[in-house]
Amino acid sequence: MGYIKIELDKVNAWYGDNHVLKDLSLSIFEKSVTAIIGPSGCGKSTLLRVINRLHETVEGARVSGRVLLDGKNIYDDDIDPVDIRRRIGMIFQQPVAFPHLSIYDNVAIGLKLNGFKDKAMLDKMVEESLREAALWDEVRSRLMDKGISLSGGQKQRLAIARAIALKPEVILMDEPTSSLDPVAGAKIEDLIINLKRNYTIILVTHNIQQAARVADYIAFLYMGRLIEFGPARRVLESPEIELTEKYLTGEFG
Amino acid sequence: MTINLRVRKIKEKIFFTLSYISIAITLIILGSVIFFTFVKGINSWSISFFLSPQRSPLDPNQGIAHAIQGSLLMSFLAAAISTPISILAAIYLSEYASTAFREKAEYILDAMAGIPSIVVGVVSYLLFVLPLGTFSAFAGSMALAIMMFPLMTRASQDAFMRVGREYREAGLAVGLPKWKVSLHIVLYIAKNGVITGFALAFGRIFGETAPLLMTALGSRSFPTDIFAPTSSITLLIYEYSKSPFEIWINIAWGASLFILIMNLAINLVIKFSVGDRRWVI
Repeated sequence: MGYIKIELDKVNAWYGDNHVLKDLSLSIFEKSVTAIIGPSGCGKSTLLRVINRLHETVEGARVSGRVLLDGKNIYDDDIDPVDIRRRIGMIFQQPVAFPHLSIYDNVAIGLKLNGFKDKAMLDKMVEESLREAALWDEVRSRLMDKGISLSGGQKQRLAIARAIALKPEVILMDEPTSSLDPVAGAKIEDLIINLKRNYTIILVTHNIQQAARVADYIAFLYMGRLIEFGPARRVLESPEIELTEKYLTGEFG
Repeated sequence: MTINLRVRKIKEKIFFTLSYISIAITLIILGSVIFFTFVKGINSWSISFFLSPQRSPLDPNQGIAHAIQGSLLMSFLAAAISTPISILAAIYLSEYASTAFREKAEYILDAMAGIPSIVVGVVSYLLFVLPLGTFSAFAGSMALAIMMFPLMTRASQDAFMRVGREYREAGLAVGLPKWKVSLHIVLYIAKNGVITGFALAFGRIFGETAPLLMTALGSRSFPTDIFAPTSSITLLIYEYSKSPFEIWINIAWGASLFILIMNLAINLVIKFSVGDRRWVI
């Protein structure tokens, strides 16, 4: 199956008294797209937020268990979550363009504020990131315009460029197309397929067709537990667990 | 039915009339304050009014220049002291504090903002005048800074808390430490709210008298030493308007007009620089 980039080992997560993830163990393979599917409130987003240690930034949130990145537990005491977040980028459901920054600075912010100074190098990395996010041709002539002047789909690709600029190893995507129109969404899907050559991608989606189009692996979550995991085609065509089949056939969701 | 309908219509009319009369009274009172201040004050405005300090009460060639300088000195010093502290305190409350702590702090700050300014004056007298052994611009500035602090902290905190969580998370997600997210993202996005809070607080302290009575005391001449008694426009108005001299009383009106216009100007400048149409005077 390939190299295991991330391994979750009996992960539990809480928001206050709300036990969101329950004894969840899962392997994420390198340079592939793993789709996390499941009904609303099943813990999909929380799972992503546990992987880049964003979960703990919410008041009252807790995590137990181990998340191994290249075999090293990111919850060990000697690990700085800030370093983890530089290695594991994240794209959110609502595309974020910082309203006070230009398109250029929206991409460069992670580099600039992490102390990257070389202007020529910065220009090069911004261009590369925008090209890789398939946005360069649309914005090359107006890099100094405000980021919020972009359309929703462009903002989402801007957010992807911002994540790519840091050369992360893993990119987490939390329903990246759900706030976009179908055309803009299709562009993001094409982009995801291209990006997996260089990055390990974990995609949360409530859209089973989307998972079928882009995912190599699918994990089905229900009420905070991992119900089924396997190669995408196998899970979609012949689910081993009845609950998965019921979800896939639309009996609930 | 028709009687009921008529009663209802009459009630509606009475309520409408009452509210209409109320807003008319409010606007008339406000308008007459501005009108009287203008009519009584404009005559004393002259070149020497703005350029000369206090002179003998019978000398017509005198002005409020020393008080304007004192007011500007103390207000800007107060702003320089309280602005960074207020912004950092507001960042703590909105970005770091637990909900329980934040609610307690908000309660205390709101109470602090409502403390009568004479009390701030007395406290500042104990803290800054007695130990230094003299009334001073410094003590006056500290008193004004104490007044400014809760106003600006709460206004900035509200502005920070209106910034959506998605911007913070997007910042954290590119590996920024929390303090950089606060300083480079939240503060910038909330900038207009912080400036508005600053303007309100600055306008408030610029017109304060009571805290300065107990701290800056007042002076006849231009400020030269921040550790010496210093005048302000409001102190001058207070002193002159009690005096028996016609020239001084006229100058007090002129100074009142000046401070009124200053406050309107501060608000207008901020309003236009922020481009915030919701925030009119």
